[in-house]
Amino acid sequence: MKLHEMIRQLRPFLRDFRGPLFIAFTMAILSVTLNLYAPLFISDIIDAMSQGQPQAIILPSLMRLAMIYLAYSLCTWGMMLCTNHIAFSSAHTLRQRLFQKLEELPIAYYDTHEHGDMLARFTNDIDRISDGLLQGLSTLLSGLVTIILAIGFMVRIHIGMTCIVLLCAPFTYLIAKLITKRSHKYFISQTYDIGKLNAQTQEMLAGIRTVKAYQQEDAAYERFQALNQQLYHSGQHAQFYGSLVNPTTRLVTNSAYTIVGVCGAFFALGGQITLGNISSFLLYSNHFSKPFNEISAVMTQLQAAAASAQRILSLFAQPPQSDTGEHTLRNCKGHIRFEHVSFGYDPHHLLMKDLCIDIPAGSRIAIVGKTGAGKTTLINLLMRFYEVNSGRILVDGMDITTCKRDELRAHFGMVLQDTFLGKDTIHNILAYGKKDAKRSDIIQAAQACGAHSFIEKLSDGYDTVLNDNMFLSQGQRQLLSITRVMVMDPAILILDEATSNIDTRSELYVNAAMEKLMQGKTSFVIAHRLSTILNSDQILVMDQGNIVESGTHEQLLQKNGAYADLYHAQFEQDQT
Amino acid sequence: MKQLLPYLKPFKKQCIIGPLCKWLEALLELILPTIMAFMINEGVMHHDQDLVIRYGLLMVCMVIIGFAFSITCQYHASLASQGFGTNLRNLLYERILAFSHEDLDRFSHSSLIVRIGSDVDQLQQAVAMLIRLVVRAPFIAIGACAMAMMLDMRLAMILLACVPLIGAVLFLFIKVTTPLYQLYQRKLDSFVALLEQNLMGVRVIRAFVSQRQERAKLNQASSDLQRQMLQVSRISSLLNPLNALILNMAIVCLLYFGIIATPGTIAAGTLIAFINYAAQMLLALVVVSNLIVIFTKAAASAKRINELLAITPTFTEGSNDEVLDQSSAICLHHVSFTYPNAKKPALIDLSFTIQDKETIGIIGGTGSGKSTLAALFMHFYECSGLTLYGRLPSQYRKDALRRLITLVPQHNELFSGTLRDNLYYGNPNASDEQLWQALREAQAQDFVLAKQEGLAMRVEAGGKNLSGGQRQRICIARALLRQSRILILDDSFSALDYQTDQRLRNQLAKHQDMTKLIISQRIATIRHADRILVLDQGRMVGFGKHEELYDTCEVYREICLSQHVSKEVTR
Repeated sequence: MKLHEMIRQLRPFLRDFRGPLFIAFTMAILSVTLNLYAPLFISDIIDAMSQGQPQAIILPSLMRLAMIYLAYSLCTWGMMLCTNHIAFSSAHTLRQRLFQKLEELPIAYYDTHEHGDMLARFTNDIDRISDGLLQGLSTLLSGLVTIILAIGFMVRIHIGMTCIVLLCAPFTYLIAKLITKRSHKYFISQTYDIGKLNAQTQEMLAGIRTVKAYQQEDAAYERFQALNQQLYHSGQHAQFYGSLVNPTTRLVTNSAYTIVGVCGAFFALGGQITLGNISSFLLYSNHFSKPFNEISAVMTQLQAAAASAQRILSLFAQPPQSDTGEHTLRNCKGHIRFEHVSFGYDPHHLLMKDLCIDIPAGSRIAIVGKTGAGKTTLINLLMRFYEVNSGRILVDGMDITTCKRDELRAHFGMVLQDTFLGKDTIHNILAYGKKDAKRSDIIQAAQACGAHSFIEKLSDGYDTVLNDNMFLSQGQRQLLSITRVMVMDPAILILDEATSNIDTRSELYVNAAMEKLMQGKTSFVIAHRLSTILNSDQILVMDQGNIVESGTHEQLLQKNGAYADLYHAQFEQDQT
Repeated sequence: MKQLLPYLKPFKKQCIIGPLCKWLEALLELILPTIMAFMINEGVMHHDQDLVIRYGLLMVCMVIIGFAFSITCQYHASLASQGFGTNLRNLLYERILAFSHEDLDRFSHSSLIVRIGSDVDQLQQAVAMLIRLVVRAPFIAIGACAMAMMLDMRLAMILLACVPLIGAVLFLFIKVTTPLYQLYQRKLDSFVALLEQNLMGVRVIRAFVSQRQERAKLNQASSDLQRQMLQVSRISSLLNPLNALILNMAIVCLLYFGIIATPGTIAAGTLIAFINYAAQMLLALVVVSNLIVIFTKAAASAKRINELLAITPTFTEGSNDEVLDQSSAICLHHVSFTYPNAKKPALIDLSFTIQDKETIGIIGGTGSGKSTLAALFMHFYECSGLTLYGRLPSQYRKDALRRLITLVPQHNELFSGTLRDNLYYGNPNASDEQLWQALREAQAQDFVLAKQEGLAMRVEAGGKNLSGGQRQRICIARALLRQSRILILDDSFSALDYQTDQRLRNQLAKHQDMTKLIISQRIATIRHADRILVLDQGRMVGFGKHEELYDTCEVYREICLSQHVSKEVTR
């Protein structure tokens, strides 16, 4: 991606800061003007002194000088406050937009991308951009103003010599660009390597128990070292080439300084300019070249920022999950039909082919099958986590793709094997699906699920904040997530291995509560415990993505097919 | 930051050459205007063209030599700082790997990632700046001061008076901002933790249509972060203007004392020179204060890194490879255990012995202490009263202990790489035949074969591309490859259907010289074990065969009834 393309894309983010930008720019002009003006003022005072003028005239001038200095400091401070505001607020805006973007992306994106790498975009990359903006803005602003003013002063002294100084400017730019081009690829690979390193660390931390149990510390360390070595390589090159810009521009400006001096000397020998002119010209040419030095110094930072911006923009460029649905689903009854549904996570490799089912409203469906038979896939499609490749799914006769995703999902209550509770008070966690739930409703639901007793025992009851340090068993967490659905009271229930982590004694209570909850609702139950699905209206037996048998428990047992095999396995004595 | 200095030692050479080159370059740069003045004074005044050309060439040489010095410095700075950062990252990673579970419980994953990532980055930058700028700026400031003193002692006092004043400003600045930066880092940690949760729980968030709520939380955390940073920057952006004000006021004072207080004693040229030196000092101080911003940030990072380095791993390791007692695999004598920071004990007064080659089922409700028991056997935590084959776990050498006992944890932890990589965790020297054998026994062969790539099958981080049951079976295959004397399966059958469960148990039963501990919620999974240990809220309430327990243990009977399992094992 080209730099100007990147700037074009980032411009909307900067547009919000027109006000502060304007103030910063004004402050920059003021502070630089004051800074260049003060020396003139001093030379006037010194001239006045050497001419022996009375102190009464000099004293007010001195007061005025003090005021100029004070104003200069204030303006500089003002400029820095504004650029700080722009840098940090735009980082905040970027974080917000990035997160918003993440929400628009399909679940498939989450399933296929490293979380550590995604986190790095929110932290390292945004930090780099904000640093780049901060340093870049303040340096560019004051640099630009200094250059313009210095040119003005130089032209007043000698136009020919000014041209020599000006000719060196594109030189500086060209050299900086040459180096930038070379180092850019190292900066790109540096951010890439950081992302990989982050992902590796996160993966190791997530699996630390296994790493230790299998004594894989050395192997994990070696892998990290290898990645770290890559980062060393790209980082060292990026840093070195990046840091070349500064000395190289200094080489050019110092050469220019020398050339101006020598030429000036020759002009003076020819009698075109005076010695005093040379010395003040050199002073201003120094003022002129300094911003180039400074600007090239921030180039390194800008480059790192550009590499990071590229990573962020590439996330922005991800196609969002389009939602063409516009209808809303009111008073959902829960009648569900799958019509000739085909689906594969890889569209060239269909998992589910031409699936047809009709599920009357209020019926209880058990889905059984071996692991990997496609039970969770069925749910993924039903809740539009993934979209079907062909065919359609109807809820109450409405094609779910014509319905807004969120509207659709609001009618589903879901309990998964892995709980996700977040960091909040127990009350808010339980009110997750129904934000305006009253405490009494929540307590009632918790009592029904058998979660009330252990919640009561927590230090602050329902107001206890759940955090990482608090020890809740997997089962207790699942009880909370079941209670959460209980509070929400949706039309359709999905229980995906909901009870696999709860001990069977508590499961008795939960099942009783579930039984109450499931009355009048369409519910899908995925479970390995056949006992929990014995009294469903219909049992779907799945294998390799498709439904191979369906019917009631008795019907399926009589068939003596796949279901019968599964069922007998539970009660039959092991063959050993 | 001092504690981290030793890690710079390997880069002693770079740390000397770099600043030295920078100093030489600065020296050349300071001399350049003097030569210029000389050229103008001597050459132009005396109309000597040759002299002008000679001095011109000299200056060009100086510029080029200065450039060479500067590049050398930048090169060494990049070597030293990247090397330092790389070593530090390696060291931190190594330390984290050596942490015991007790140590790990004290830090959240996200804060560890931030420490190893951006904190090291901060320090690395500080090292680069140390080499590149730290010598140059004070050198120019001190040089300017010295020159001023040579010109006029009295006026130089005014310049010198600025030094403690500016020092005080810098000191106050560090004092005020350091805690604010630390606060910022803490807020960054909690932002990252929140974001991580959002990534992991995306299905639930979308199912509950809670995107708006989550976004509000995240925006709140992000704006907290922004506010914190703005607070810091309001103070830090005051530093430069304040220093400029102090020095500029010194110039006003110079003029006042030079012209009005002691009229006629100071030459105009001297005043001009003084003002030049004051300006040079100011420029140098701007650089110094920028450095201070970098170093305060680095100090906050250094503190957080030192927190990690300060931990001496609590894992105790013995020197024994051999077991002492062949017959009793695991023996507990009044073992109680409380997690650090927990109020209530997780296990209370357990005493029992598991014989070698026995198959033990462990059952109990949620929070009854089953997994804690497994963690103690694995020596993830210290406790007294527990022996493995006659020795305390802490008496074994670490690798001997890990060879003795293998755990398939409740959360199936797989790593990105190929299936083969993951299986090699169990035994890196296993032949393909052995790998397939283990997969076959773990009932994983079918689905692996179905994926075509076989052992080269890709596994994503955490096994995200596999179903829960597939993950469990790969984890079991990996454990079987270990061929350790004790195998603990912590609820490793929960995602398996009963047929697979049964076939797997049949296969396990063939490993007759292995002591097997099967933790489960399902009666059917453990019913056939030699003995069954029943736990209830951290206490042992029964230990015996299925039929015995059914009659004598109320908790066990309740569990059986809830799963429709009767006393008689049906044929």
